[in-house]
Amino acid sequence: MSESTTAPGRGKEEPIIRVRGLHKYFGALHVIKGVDLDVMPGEVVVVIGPSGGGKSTFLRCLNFLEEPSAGSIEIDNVEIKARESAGDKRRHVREIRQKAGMVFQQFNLFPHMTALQNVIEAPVTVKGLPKQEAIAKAEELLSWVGLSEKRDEFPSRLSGGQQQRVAIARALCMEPKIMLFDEPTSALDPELIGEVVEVMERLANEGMTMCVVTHELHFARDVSDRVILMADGVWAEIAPPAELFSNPKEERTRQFLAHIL
Amino acid sequence: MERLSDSAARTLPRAVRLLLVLLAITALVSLLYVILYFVGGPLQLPTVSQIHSLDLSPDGGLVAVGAEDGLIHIWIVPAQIRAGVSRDFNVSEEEPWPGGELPGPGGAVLAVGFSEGGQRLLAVTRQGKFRAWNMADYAVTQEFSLGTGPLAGVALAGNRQVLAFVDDSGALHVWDIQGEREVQSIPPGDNPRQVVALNSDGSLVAADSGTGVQIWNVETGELVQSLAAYCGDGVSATAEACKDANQDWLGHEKQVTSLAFSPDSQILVTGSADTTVVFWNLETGEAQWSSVGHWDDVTALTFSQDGESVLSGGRDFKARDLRVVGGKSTAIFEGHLATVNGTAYGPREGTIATVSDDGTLRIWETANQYNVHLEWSRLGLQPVWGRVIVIWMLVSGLLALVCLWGLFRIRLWAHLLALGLFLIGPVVVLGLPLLEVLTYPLSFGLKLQIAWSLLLLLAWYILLLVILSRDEVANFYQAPQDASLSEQIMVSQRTLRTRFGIYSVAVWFALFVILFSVLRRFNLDISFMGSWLQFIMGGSLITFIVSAASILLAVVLALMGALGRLSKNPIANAASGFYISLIRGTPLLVQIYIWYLGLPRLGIVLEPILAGILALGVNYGAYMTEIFRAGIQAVSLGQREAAQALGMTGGQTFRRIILPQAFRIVIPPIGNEFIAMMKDSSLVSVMAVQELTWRANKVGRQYFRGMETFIIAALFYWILTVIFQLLQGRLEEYMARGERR
Repeated sequence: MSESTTAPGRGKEEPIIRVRGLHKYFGALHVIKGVDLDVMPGEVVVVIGPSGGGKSTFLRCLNFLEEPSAGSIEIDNVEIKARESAGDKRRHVREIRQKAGMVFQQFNLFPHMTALQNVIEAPVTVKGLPKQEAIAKAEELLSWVGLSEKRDEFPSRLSGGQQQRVAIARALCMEPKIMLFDEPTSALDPELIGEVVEVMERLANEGMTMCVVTHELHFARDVSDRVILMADGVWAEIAPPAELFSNPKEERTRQFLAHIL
Repeated sequence: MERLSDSAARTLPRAVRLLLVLLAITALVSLLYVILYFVGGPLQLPTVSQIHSLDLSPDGGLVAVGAEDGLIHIWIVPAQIRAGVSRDFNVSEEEPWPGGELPGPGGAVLAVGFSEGGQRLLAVTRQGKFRAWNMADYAVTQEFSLGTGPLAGVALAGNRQVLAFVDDSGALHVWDIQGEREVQSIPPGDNPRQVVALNSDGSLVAADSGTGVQIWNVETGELVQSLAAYCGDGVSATAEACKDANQDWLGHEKQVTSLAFSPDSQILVTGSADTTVVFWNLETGEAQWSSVGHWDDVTALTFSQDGESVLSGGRDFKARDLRVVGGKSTAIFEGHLATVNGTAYGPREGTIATVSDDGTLRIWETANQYNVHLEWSRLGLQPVWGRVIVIWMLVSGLLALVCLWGLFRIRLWAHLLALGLFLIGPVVVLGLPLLEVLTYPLSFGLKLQIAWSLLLLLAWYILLLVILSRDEVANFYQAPQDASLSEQIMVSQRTLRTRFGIYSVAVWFALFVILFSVLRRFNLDISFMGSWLQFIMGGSLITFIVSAASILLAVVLALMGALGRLSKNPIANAASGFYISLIRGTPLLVQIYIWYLGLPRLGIVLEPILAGILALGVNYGAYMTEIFRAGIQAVSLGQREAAQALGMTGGQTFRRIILPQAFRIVIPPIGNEFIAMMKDSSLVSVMAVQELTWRANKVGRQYFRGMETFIIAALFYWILTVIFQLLQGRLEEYMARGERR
């Protein structure tokens, strides 16, 4: 098991994400039942699996939008243990959140700000970046996601795909070490999915470490280094995409793939 | 140009051509009416004839009044009335009294009088003509000219042997009626004279002299008494100096507007533009009593037969019964629609008669002050409506011509102008007189007789409106004729919107007209309202300041309260729960009293205005806590997560992300609260904060005109809230800019 949680062929590097013995309870409901994971820098990991399997909860635990019930999470050498003083914990959580950009299913752009203001908000208020610098950087990112002419539009005047691309730019503007994608295309009309996936592919090609929860199997097959099938709070199978899709080892994986393909 | 109008005429739809014809007729008739009005031809609206003078026959069997139309109207008082049979006071169910009209000698009849035995009736007109009739056969028995005219004021002596008048130069003349000759003449004084009175035997004549009165002996022409206002200390020369000396100013401060001698010629009573009535001792020249109560010029005064009481009438549309000793008012008679010009005791014990510019004779029961009978000089509208309608005819006639031209050239503005003109104009101009006629105590048939021409006019305007708002007409003016289908659909939607707008404005105006005519029935003292308007209006600034400051305080408190309610910290949560429970559990007025009475006990003495702001702010803060809590909770959880995922702290998230969005949600309810606050701020008037309500209450109580002052206050509250609603709309638009699509 310990072999498969480590990325193949990159053994000499230190993992940037290290999860050990992660449990999550919602009341009496045991959602995540002790999982381990190492993600190497530049690696793209896709988590797939049936609804209610704990994928999103796992991802949200990585930047502490959900508090893990037990276990430890270390991101880029910042570690938070389940038992830690409140002050230390709050500091560590904010550190981790600055290192881990997050993209949500519902985009969650700030509706009272323009696209540009959305992107510069966190660098200016959190990092104290001078506004001019932040704007320059934000314009660069907006043009990278192909939305430079939409910089002064409010989110309500953007399509879903455009909003999600602004959300990606917003997360990138904090210069994160890793990016977490929580079903980034699930709320989009089918014809808008492509533009978001295209941006994610480019991001992966530029070497960003990414952890993606998605139903977009094309993305998993074409871009990811490893695919995790999560079911009932545990890893059902971890494998490179080619292997997992064409030759699944576990019965649970076969069931799931049969269901959606 | 020629070619254009040619082609336009050819393509006009039938309905439009019909409209143009009707509009042309409207303009023509309107302007014709204006011309005929000024040359005095037919097409006159029925208007009442103002009644200037009144007398009852000595036995109370006849009432005679002199009117503006030059006629003397006479009514025979029914026997059961004279016998004192108790009457129902519902005037509209009264049978009209039998009577008739005598043609006067020419011009408005300023004075009428029965001779001492009641066999003769005398009348004097403004043109300086005298005529007398024998009451047995209504034959003219005497007629002569006073040789001058127009007359300013006329008086008949009690014995009907002598008459006195003031000519337009201000000279005073006394004539012997039997001899048809002038017996005395007094040249004009320093002040132009307006009113004149004779005593019962015609031996003394009195006339106004500015704020005072002069009295001459008719036989010798010598000035026997000169009555003028004076100060109680006998030294101070002006009313102001007298006030400074802490003394009473006795007599009148303004022009004397009416006069009467007591039957024994011991007392002269004067009424003035300063609204007071003064009883003078003719022997000593002292002002014995002064009577206040009228709201405007006192225009009529009549002594009772026994000389113990006086009936006064005023420009405030009211009559009063005054005791000579003490000057106290024992009865007020309200109901006339215009200045009361004449008063008389009779026709039997316990009743009085009054006549007015509103064209009516009214009989009142003194005991309960009910208007028990009413007669019209002539059925019609009040004269003011005649003038209003001629102005309307002129304006609408000219505008109709403008519309005609514009409609012919196929201009949209002309169509909208015509729609607005003939919808809103008639509502205002015809609505008020029609509503007034509706309230006249007359049978339906008689009301119709007065108003039929107005109703006809109204029907004509409705016809115009129906044609104007026909789709084929409206669309013709809104759409280019060769428009595509989609353009036509857009245009018809726009037509509907425009028409909706104009109709709503008309409904507003109609409701205003109804409100206004109700207010008119309150018989408000308009000049009083005018003189205190500015003082009360000054309170609206304070009302606004108090409300604005209170709402700011309330917003701060509500924000803190809401954070407390949402907090997981037990101290903050419980404290805020306690605050809300305490403040919402007690009435605002009680809280205001506790702030007002309680703060000084703690040694805190605040300006009333600050205490008021505290009381209102703390109260509204508690209510608005719930609004803020809901607003904060309404911002989606995803927003908080997105901000946190970007590494923002709790405080940053709240300030930068949650609060701006929550504010946008709570702005409309805060606006509502502010409007409510502006009205609840009236409660701090009990703290002597000098805002609208306090001022209205103070002035209203001091002068017994609460109705007037509170209507002014209500008006300004309304204006304040209307202004604020407009501002609120703007603010919401601005705050919602992220939501615009």
